[in-house]
Amino acid sequence: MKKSGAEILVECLKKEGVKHIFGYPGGVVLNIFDTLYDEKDIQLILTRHEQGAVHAADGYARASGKVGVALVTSGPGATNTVTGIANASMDSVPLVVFSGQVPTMLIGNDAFQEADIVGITRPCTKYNYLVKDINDLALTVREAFHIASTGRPGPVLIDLPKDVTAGKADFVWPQQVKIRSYNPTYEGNKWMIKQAAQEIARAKKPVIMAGGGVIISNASKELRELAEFMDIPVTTTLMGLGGFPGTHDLSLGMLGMHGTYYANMSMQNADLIVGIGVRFDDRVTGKTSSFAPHAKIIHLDIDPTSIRKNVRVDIPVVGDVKLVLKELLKFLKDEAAKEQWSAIRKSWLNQIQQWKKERPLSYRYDENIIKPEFVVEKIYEITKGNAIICTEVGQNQMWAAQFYKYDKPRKWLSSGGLGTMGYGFPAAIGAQFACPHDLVIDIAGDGSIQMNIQELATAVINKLPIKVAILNNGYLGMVRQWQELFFKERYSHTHLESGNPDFVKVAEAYGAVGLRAIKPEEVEPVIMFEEEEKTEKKLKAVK
Amino acid sequence: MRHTISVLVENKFGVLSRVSGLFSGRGYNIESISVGETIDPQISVMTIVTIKVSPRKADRLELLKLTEIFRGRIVDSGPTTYTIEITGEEGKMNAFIELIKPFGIKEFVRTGKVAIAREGIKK
Repeated sequence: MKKSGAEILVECLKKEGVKHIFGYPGGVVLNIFDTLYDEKDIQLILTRHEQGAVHAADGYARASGKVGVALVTSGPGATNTVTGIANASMDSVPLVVFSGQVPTMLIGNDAFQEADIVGITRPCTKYNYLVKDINDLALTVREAFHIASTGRPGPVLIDLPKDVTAGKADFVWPQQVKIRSYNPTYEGNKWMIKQAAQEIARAKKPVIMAGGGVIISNASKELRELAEFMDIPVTTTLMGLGGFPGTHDLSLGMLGMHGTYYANMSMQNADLIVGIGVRFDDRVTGKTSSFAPHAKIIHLDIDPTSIRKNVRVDIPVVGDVKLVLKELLKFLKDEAAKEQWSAIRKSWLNQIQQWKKERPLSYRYDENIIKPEFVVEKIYEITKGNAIICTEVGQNQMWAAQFYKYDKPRKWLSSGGLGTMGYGFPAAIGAQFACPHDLVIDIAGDGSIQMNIQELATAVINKLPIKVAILNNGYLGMVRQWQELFFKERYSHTHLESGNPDFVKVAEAYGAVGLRAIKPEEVEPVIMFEEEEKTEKKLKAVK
Repeated sequence: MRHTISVLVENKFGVLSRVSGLFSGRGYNIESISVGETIDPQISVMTIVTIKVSPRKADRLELLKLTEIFRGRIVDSGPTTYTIEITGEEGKMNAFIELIKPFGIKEFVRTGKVAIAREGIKK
């Protein structure tokens, strides 16, 4: 029996194990929405903006490790996904985004709500498709999920003309998918791994720099084993937070522009850097010519184009970091016993301890004003580090990165590469769907939260117990900070306070709970509120 | 520094834009780019004109003649290969390729069409 394109699509999604789709309807995707209307196995979550849908799918993917799925209409629906897609691309998040398209006959005619979304998203997707023939639909979906989730993950977009989803064809599910020109490398080159092992065994002052790749590859266990076996201190990038326990003795916290003094001192004095699943972003390296000047660099990454893209690398190993680390450990365990390492490492670790004492992460507590760092610390204290923390972008993000200790992977969802204000709240919605039993908190600023504040409706209608902590300082704080440092304190267009809404009232208007803390002693009761009152949703305006 | 890069790509719409985008997205200018089908119509190659064949000894003369007939040019001659450059319209190219196939084509690249408008004739 023949099925419609929309039915074939939904069958494909079921075969891929999709349970949640974040989407927004429109003219050319009505067939698909109509098919999903009766579908019991797949829940469509209506967001209030297509950008919110893609960020939610992104948060869902990061929290669960599964592929996130979004479905939008053509034209403006599709162009509204671009920020979300670019965001997922930079942070290697597996997504499949379905966009509707005008009928194939009309493509190129400037039809109503037509946009060349395949052309527009080509540079910010891992791959994208325009399905012109219904008979290609099932294979395309299969390939898209394969490409999105394998190798270095990323977003894949499938553009679906209306006549393709409305047409009829036999449903044939391709048993396997094989793409001749796409063959990611998983096993690292043994010879290179051996070289890396020898270099690590030789190093006196090594530092491991762990990134998002450790989380994506589920390699936290192997990373910890390597660090503990060899007594090597570990610093993580923003994307790598939680890949190595933040409370571990060997943890140096985050490095780079917003990193700790001791992490950066360690990098600059190390004789060996082992970069694992990182891309040596400019916020981490600063001026590359003076980055880690005394160190040899080993770089483990699944993406060959990341190697030597930003910094010189002495020993590159291309492969899945979990598999490479396993192999590396095998070599190292053959080399020497544990006791020797702690002796060799003693002076290096003492030096690092010195740096930690010299300049720990700190802030000045104030009795009268709520310090944002204090709020993040309180959230950490109350949640005991077990919450899923989402952030927006700016100072709120950096405080959340610095003053909350992430011990487990997939508990920290933040826009690292693209730096997208407005990411955190919809991502929290996605994360809550992926992990219904976890406490999900979005740490936001008064600027960022307004970029996707409409998703309050999505959170309320779905009864999601998400908490949003708005660190309201009345400014675009991070930009202001730069104006303070580099633009002679000329605060051009960073003042928000006079235009800010009453966030408590905004929350209430959407049917959420809004609470405000003005004094430091009010912070804890406001954070705790939900547990006692069993409310569904709250928005905390911390001022 | 000038680079010449030759890559095999899937022969699908958008591939030229996908590859050229890798350059333009990094602010590099492309001096010239061309795409053409290879022997396998599912694969295209991006690069410049040259054809490399490996004739058996007895065939070398015949190949030379064929090249002359088609107004081609031998740009390199090795002990086991000829590299032939040939230009012309599509039908002529396809005919030539069919004729030399039996000699054994070792490597094959094709620019695809290039065109320039004629001057309009005033009446």
